[in-house]
Amino acid sequence: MVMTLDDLILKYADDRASLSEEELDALIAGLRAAPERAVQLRQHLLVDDLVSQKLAFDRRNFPAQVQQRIADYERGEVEIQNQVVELRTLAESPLETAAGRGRDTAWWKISLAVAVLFLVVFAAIAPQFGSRTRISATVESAQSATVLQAKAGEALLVPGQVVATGQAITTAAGGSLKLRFVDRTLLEIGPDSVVTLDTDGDTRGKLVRLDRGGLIADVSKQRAGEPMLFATPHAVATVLGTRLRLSVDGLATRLDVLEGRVELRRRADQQTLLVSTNESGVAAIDNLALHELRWPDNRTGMIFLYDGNSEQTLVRSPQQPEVLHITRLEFTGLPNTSPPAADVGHLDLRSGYFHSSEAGDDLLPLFRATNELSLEVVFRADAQPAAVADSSLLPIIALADASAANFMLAEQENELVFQLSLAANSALRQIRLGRVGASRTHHLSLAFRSGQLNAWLDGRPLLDTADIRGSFAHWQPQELQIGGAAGDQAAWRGSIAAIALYNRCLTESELERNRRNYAQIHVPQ
Amino acid sequence: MDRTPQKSDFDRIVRETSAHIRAYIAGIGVPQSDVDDIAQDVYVELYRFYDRIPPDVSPKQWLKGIARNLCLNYFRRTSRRGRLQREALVELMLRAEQAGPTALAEGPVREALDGCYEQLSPDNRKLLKLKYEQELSSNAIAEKLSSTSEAVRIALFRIRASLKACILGSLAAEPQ
Repeated sequence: MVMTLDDLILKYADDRASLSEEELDALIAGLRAAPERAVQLRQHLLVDDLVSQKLAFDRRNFPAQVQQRIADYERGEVEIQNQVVELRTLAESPLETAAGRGRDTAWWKISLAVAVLFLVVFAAIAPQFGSRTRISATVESAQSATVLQAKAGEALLVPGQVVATGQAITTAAGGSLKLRFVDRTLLEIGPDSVVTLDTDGDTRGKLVRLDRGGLIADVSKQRAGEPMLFATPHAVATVLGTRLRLSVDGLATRLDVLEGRVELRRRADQQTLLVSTNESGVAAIDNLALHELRWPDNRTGMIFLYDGNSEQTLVRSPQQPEVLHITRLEFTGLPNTSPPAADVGHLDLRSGYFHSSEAGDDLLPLFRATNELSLEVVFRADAQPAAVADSSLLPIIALADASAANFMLAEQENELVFQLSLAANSALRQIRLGRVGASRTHHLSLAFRSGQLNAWLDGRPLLDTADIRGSFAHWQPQELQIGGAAGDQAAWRGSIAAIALYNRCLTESELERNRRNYAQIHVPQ
Repeated sequence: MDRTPQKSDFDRIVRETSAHIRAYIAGIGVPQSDVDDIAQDVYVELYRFYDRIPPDVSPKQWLKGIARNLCLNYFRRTSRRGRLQREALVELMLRAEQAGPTALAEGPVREALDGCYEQLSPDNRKLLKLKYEQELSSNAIAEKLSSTSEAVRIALFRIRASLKACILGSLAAEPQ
């Protein structure tokens, strides 16, 4: 089929490498005969690249890539200079001891001259080969993280230390580590993790082995043909430039892509999955699955959900515990106030409060069945008015009525307080969680079972205690209340973007995953 | 030893010129996957020999000269037959640069593109995201959209042509 100049231009503009030699000849001849078409084609190529610069993930931070190349160049110059000086010194030193020896002296001088000449030539051409086989990273921050060194054994890592290929890194429970590679790629290694830096034998690209635990990576654009690999016992993820989260437990590897695209390959059968932004790929022994990132992630035990972004309020009914039903929160407005606007993506508690007896009735038996409770709430507190704030308990969310509460999260004098009823005829156990700043969005997570209560604010631990013991067997039917009244004013002023309640004590990693998923998916208030 | 520039000056040059230089390299015919590698080489060369820039030459002009040379070196690394063809195309594109309007090579072209991009229809933006964000080939896009690769190529060509017209219009309307 004979292609017209238009066809050839179209094909070339789409993919420079797609034309055969004959087609290239035809294109060149056509453009020579019609120079104005060459102008048009060139402008088309300019716009094509400008759009690519705008949209392609791995092309967005070009100035940072240039900075890294400059840093590589400067470090290479210094390293080569130092190596040449060291090797010259080493090569020249035998001359002093060989002086005075007879016919061997000339041979030594010639040999050393050749060696020095070789070193100079090597120093001149060495930059072309670079240092791609050496993978090292610098510690930016470390907490309870150690590295296993060949002769020195296990040593604590400190900021500024360099970790190199083959060294196994371990973080303790509650530990963390940030590593920065030469190309600005950042690894944040989570608690209870085992990681080893390595080089891929085929591509010479960076290889990070994650045997246990989790990490978050912000991967700079890698050189063509040298993707960065993340290998776990179950899968291999191939990355050219993106942000991702990777976690491993005994059964599966989970890859969350926060920006960009990553190929996930399951080791067992080499099946692959392309995971894109806000998607999650799971590679297990018997499964390779893809789904959207969501909040909350694992919904086992979730019994109530308010998600402002989707304007949904769901509750699990004890009669049909396998299903979440849509439920409605009633609003009670306060005197001389206007009702809040609808569909704004959050519950506005400045002019009243929300409540539901129906939800309270559903939640009570579910809590009593397990005696466990977890709570997530995304909220933004206003500066509380002085008339209400002084030593008053300002309820944020509670299972309560006018006289008593099964549980309550409240604010008191700018501090978060959690109250829990743990035995009949006993006072509420009150636990102070810590100060909370006004006028910014916070994500509170809390998990309780008898003998364990943990709380985190924005991922930062607030409380870890084994002193709280009891059950919910005595709990009475009460309303689910969000906000409250103090006379004719709102008790607690602010807004709530999301609430999740569980009748299960979630783990720290589950709650932290939920918090990160929420931040990734939802636009903050 | 060659004098290297002040970091703030160098960073400013990179910030102000990189969009144009990268597009310039693409306009010579370098495949998109290699544009940024060559562009980075250009800035490393600028950094190494900064004091060789004549006082009456702007950094952008100097950068274009470096880019031209590096692009020619790039095409020389291909096979002989392919090299001759690529060099012929480079010559045509360089002549086209001289003959065509300069607006796309100057001025706040990225800002103009941002504004023009927002004016595209959602379908057109979706097509561009499939092509540039997800880096799908025209064949893969066609499969995803139940279309043909030819139709996809034509649609992309038309979208880019409309963006070009919009960008040129925005730049012409810029106050002098």
